[in-house]
Amino acid sequence: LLAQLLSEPERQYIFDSVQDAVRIDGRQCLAYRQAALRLDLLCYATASAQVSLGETDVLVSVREEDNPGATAQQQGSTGSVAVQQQQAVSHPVSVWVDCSCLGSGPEQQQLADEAQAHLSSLYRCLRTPTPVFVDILLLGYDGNLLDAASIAASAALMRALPASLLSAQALPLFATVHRIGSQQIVDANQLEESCSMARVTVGVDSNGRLVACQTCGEGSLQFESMTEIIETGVRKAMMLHDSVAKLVARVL
Amino acid sequence: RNSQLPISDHVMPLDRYRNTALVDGIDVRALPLAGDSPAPASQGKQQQQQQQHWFQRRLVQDTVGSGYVEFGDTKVLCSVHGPIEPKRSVLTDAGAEQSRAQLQVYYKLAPFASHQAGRVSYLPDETERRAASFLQDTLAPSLRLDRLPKSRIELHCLVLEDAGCCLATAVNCACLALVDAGLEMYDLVTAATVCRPVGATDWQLEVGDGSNSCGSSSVTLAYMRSLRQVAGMLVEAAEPLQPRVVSAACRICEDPCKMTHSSLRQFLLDCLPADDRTAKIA
Repeated sequence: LLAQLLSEPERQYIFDSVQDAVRIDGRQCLAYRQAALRLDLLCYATASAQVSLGETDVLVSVREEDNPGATAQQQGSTGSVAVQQQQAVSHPVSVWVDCSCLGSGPEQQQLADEAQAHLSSLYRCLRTPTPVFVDILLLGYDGNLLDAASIAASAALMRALPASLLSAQALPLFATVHRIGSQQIVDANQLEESCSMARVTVGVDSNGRLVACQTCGEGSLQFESMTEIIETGVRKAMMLHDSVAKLVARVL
Repeated sequence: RNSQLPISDHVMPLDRYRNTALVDGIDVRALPLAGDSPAPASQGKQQQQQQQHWFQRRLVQDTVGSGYVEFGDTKVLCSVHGPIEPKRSVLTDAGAEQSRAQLQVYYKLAPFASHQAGRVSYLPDETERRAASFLQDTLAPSLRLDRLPKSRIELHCLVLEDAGCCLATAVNCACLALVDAGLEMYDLVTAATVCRPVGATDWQLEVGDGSNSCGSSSVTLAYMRSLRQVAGMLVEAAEPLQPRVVSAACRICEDPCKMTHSSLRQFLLDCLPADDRTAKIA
């Protein structure tokens, strides 16, 4: 959030160098930063994961609450035991994002709100028999919160939920593609994010199908550009799925 | 001034000022309002497939501009305040350039607005905050914020009834309110939503008749017709969708957006003679 203090010449420098396909940290336009994944850090959570993507550091805890109906076996007014029918109840995944490590201003709150809305929509298709709470804590921020948070949350949810629920598929991941001038970049850091006018965030499952898609940013796109960006996002998300699967296999 | 008004005991002295509607003995209050909406959507299935938008402006008195849009049963009211003093934060105090106005959008469903969800709480929840940021990202590309440095524009959006596609209707209403406020824009931003139930193959335009079930995927597209650019796109999927299906759905949204653009533009042009009788439209 220090990026809002960028001066105009600095912004122009970043913009011009991206047009020449050179990013300020020397990466390729469609390359992700070094990512690290750690699982099972927290002892009171059902599952937890920490992902660091460059300086962006995200800690996710997944808690599965006990079935509330299991404790409600009590005497009813008629004197018979009331057994609650819990088989038909399915709960959506509840997501909470906390950016308080960055400060408590309105910009941080807006970042947290946006991330919460995106991540809730990512897991909209997922229904669990017991309430599941996903708490995302942002420990460091250098751009691309959504991708990092989705990697951590999906990895933790895959550890927490029973295999029967997941039907042997990986949970969806986000890929955010920014459009700077005429170039597309992925995994933008904070400075690049402040120079980009439009971005598209796609949530993709492991079969390459979209579960969420949204454009953000104060810029507009043509239809053809938007289609291209979505295709790039799907490609990068599939690549992310492969990398995350390898990372998780190595950790376990 | 009405000499025909009988002075009776129960009429308070202030009531006299309310009777300016009595003109030549005809009680104008008894006539249908000039802004009467067309037949409500619940009147039978013989209505056209494409529902018409109903536009109205200057409904809210103490604002710079306001707009009201009805699309089927969905009703949205927007009001614009500004340009006003910018919000100061640590970053602006540090000397960051304020070369553009800040656009702040507030979006709220009225407590009685929702058909399915019952009473909506007073505090904005996650969906409403998301809708507010979507509106902000959609209207900002079209507004000439650089013409109003060091200021802030506030847009308050209130959904009076949500019978489907309220986000798209809110975009249309916000655009109308901004034009009514006299803020310069590059182009009108209009939006439409298409939805598809789980397992179906066709996308249908979502109209405000409450027929959209919760278990369907929807694609909302905000489009600027003259610039031929997409201002915003939001996909809410109830099932995983192929990317080309999503792109096709965006293309299907283009036509309703263009139609709404023409009808909004025509409405604004029709309003002009009432504003300024000497104006000529070239």
